[in-house]
Amino acid sequence: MRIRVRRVGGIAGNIALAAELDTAQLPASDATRLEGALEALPWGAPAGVPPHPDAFRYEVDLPDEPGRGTAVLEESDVGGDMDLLRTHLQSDGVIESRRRPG
Amino acid sequence: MREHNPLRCILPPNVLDRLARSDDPDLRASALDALRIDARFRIARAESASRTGGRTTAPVTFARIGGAPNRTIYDQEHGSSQTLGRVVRAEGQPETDDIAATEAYEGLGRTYEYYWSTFQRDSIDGQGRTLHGCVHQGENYPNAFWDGRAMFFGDGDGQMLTRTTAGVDVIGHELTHGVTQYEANLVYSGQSGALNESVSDVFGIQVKQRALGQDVTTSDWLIGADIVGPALQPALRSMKDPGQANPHDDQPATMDDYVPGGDVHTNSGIPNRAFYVLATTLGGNAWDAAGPIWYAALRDARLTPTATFQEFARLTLRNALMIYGQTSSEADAVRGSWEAVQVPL
Repeated sequence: MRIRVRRVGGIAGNIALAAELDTAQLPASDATRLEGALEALPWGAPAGVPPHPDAFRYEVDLPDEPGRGTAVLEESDVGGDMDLLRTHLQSDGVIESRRRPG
Repeated sequence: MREHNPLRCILPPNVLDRLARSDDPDLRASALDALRIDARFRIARAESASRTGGRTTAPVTFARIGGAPNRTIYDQEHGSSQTLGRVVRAEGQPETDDIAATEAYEGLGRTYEYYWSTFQRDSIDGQGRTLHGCVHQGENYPNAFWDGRAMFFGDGDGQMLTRTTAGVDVIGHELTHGVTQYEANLVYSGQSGALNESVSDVFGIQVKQRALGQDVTTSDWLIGADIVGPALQPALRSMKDPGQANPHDDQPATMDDYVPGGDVHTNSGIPNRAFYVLATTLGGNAWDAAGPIWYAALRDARLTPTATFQEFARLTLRNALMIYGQTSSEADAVRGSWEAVQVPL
């Protein structure tokens, strides 16, 4: 299962960090835990107001299942089995270039 | 020796009322005296509440003069919890060998000093609230934030951000989120969210300028220049040139480029630039006139939590007219600053 995750917000909220992860590349136990946790996410639910200023948010998509929409998670939601996404983003994330021509 | 009157301590009005009917003339006089003082404070509270509407407002307090911060610095020991950690430095205690703790203590002091010297504002709530600064938040955590009661500072991931306490503008930015919470409670999404962010940058840059002894011409007008890692050099945001702070900066500079649904840190570039234009048009120090106009607009009871850029802009003009006069150069400069970013007044 391919998973795309973006970290937005934070004090550097005008910069987004993104990464893609394939559970096929993970040890089987990690893949099972992560795929199970993904099932419980609020897919397609509208994002509310962040809990406080400069909070990070995580936007999760499954590129092979576009019908699910996006799941938006607060920092407090990205623990436990979902922590794999956060650590993968931290190690392999790429800054998205959204700058317009200056 | 001064006589202590127990009736001037905290007694509910119904008790004072009963005592005011006492046969004892001394007790009756004291009770009436205490009721008069009590009434004055109740009127002050009601007046304060009417000015600030439904905002989060601290009760009117007394017996505090102000002018000196009350800081407590905590070590979060790399945990991600937002529970206050181990106290490493309280107000007046000596510096430790933890540089982040020292920077947080000093930066909070600089920010307190800016608000007190410029506006006679006594801390975040205007009532002397303790400044709680929490350092070493998370593992390689590339962020700093205000959670509604304390400021948290990460050590950075070394790529996007480094130690976040190193930027006095960043500390000023986070503390100002607290000020905004008390004054306007701007909803953190859409244009009101971008205003919330912009207000933090506007006062954060002034804290930095004041700390460095810079006027509007010598300032670099960069936010986060002291905390960015190699990936985001030279800064997080530029108030002078929104969108040009680093190779990935997506901030718009005018309403023509407003990003619908954009992050609050993205569209904040528009009011950020308006403030820059105002301050540089007026010259001198940003806190001489431009800062007070923005501060008056932030405190204006007509500023609603869901304010748009245009609504905020109109309040800056109204307050400039009120403070400096109908034909003042300050009011003209406010008009020009919003025109420069294409926000119609």
